[in-house]
Amino acid sequence: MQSDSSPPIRATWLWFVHNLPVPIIVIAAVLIGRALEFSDRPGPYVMHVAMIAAINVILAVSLQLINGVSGQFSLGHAGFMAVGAYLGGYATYTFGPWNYDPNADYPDPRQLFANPGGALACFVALAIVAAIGFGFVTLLFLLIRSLRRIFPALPLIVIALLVVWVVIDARGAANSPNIPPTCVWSRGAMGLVNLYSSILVHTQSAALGLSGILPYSWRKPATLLVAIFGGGAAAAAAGLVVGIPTLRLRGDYLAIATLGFAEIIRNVIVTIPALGAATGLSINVYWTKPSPPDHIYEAFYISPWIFGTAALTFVLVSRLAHSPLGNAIKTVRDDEIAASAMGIDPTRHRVIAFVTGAFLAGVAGALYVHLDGYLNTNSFSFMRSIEIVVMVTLGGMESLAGAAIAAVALTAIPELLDNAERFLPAALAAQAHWMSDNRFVIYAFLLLVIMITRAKLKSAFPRRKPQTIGRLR
Amino acid sequence: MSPFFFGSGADMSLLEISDVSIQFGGLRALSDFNFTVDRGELVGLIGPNGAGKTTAFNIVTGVYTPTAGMIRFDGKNIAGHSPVAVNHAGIARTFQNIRLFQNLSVLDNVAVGFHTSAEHGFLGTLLRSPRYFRCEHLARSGAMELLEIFGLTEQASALAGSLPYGHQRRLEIARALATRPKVLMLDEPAAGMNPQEKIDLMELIHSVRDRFQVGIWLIEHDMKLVMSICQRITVLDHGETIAVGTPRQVQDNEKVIEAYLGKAEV
Repeated sequence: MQSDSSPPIRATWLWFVHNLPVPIIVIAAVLIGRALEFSDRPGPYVMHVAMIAAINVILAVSLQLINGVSGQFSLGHAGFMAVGAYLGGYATYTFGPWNYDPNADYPDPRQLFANPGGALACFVALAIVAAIGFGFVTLLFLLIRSLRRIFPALPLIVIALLVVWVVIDARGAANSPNIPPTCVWSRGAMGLVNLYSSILVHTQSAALGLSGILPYSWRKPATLLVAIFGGGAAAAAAGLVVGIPTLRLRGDYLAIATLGFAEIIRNVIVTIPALGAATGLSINVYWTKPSPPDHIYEAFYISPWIFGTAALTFVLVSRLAHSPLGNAIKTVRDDEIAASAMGIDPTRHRVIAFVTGAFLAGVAGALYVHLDGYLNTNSFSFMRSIEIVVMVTLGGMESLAGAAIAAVALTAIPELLDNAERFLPAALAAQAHWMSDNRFVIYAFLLLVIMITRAKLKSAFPRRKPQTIGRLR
Repeated sequence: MSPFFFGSGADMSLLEISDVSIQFGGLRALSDFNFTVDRGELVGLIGPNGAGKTTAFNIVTGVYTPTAGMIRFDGKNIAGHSPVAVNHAGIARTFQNIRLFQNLSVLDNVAVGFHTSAEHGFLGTLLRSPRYFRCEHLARSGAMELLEIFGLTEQASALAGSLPYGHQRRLEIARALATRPKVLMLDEPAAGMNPQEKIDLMELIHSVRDRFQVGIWLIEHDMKLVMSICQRITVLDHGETIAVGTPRQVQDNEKVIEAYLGKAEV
């Protein structure tokens, strides 16, 4: 038996060695991105596909954390991605510009995305308003729930009446030019919206001052960083709000609840003009490519961010999966009753996995909007969620590397099929186009085959030796 | 005399169950059940199938909330607490039908019981902080020590689901001990074992009690076994307590023979 406590110097050394890959990944991502993004060799098309593939890697790995590692079945990943994408894009588009003149025909590209403080203020204001709103709803819910002491069915009746009241209230507010004082719910909602805009108005100069502290060349990266973390945090908050009530559900029921949530997100976004409503949110991403005729501003490289985040996501999620915390999450998946008898709180560990997965989906969304510059709710439909589920299933449950490889493959293969005439005879190319167009039929077929032959696949590809918790000595 | 008013808990047993009843609809699965377990004690609960033995376990470990009665552990009332809270208070259990974490290694099955993730936290896990490595090392060496006691060292990296049956039973006990309980509850630990395995297991249970100074409360179907190792035995039938006492007293009790041994001798 070894001695029980290792000397502290050893743990510090291990920390150093284990974290060495992080700066290496960041430096490699920057070097690769800078070398390739605007060069002719792979070309903009290939780079774009590679970046989409990297975003899909983030999505697949984070869904693997929810579906494979913690054993829940979420069909709402596109919903969390939408939260991150819309809020990240909205913050940089509306509040990111420095001294933005709304009356100018063309915004000065040098001013775009140069105000990280503004984007930060936007997220802070959103967080304050959301905290007040959800705090109120939670208190109301707890109050209503306590009514069951009087009469068991009373909470349900009160909630039904409340819903009717809110609907009548909203219709009354919509039918009149000024919200009448009787419509208390609509007035309350308007109050929150006004609070949000007044916070922004009052913090504007402070935000500009904060941005001014940063050197000019740091401002655009800082804005992007705020958008990524803010989008992730918003998605994580959404994950918490969805997760706490729905994570008591099992299997199919959870899948339906998360699917419903993703559709709600989509339909809410369609009603918000600030997020582009049904037309979509279009943000200026001049900064991602210098436009050839004038080159009046320096290029901003987006690909290091995407490649670096994808690699870091993979590292961090596999750290989480192969740790005592990850093992605790897996015990809840394997046997919830035994886990709670061992003092492992099932709800807590499920929520940790779910919220982390939602955060990463939000990060992927925020990166996506800054790559594409255009958002439409159709990009976050049910089929998008299904696509990620297919990646996870193809990769094999619990295998993070498998999910990442499947994400790259499922992004690259349709693109290859679309360009099949370049390397295939015309007759075959037509078939390839057909396959690409109908890839969801093929995905469905693939899922069926995998489910039916799962046991055989498992024995054909035996798992490697299970990881013990760490590699100390 | 009531400890509720006078006792500081010093003269009470570690685990004290008084007048616990539970009703499922019209079925009274357990009525006026009384039981005590003390530190370092080895006590048994027996009874024919469906007598309510596992129900009693489930009530104490927080799976069910008793309809009436009091469960005191270390002087605190734990009736109706969640299974997680009961475990944190210091009660660990095994299950009648083995409930291992099938897809985790044998070592990890035991190591999760050390709750190291609570100590270094979420960020510590992501950043692999020095504290993380220290906690993980402690859990790992503690788990290896337990595996050594239970003779499972060689299978440490095998999947728990791939172990032979007898080893799985032993692993479950090792896993329960990893949470450092004061009372260990074993639900039919010898079920499905052959006579030699049963003898080995009973020796193991004895040595665990002496080594960790835990109170052990076990349910067992095999009368001979219970009689040979338990200091006190309670017999249940249809949720009613029909006998309490030393193995000899219980053995001679007519009601017990009628309910249990009588059937077995036919």
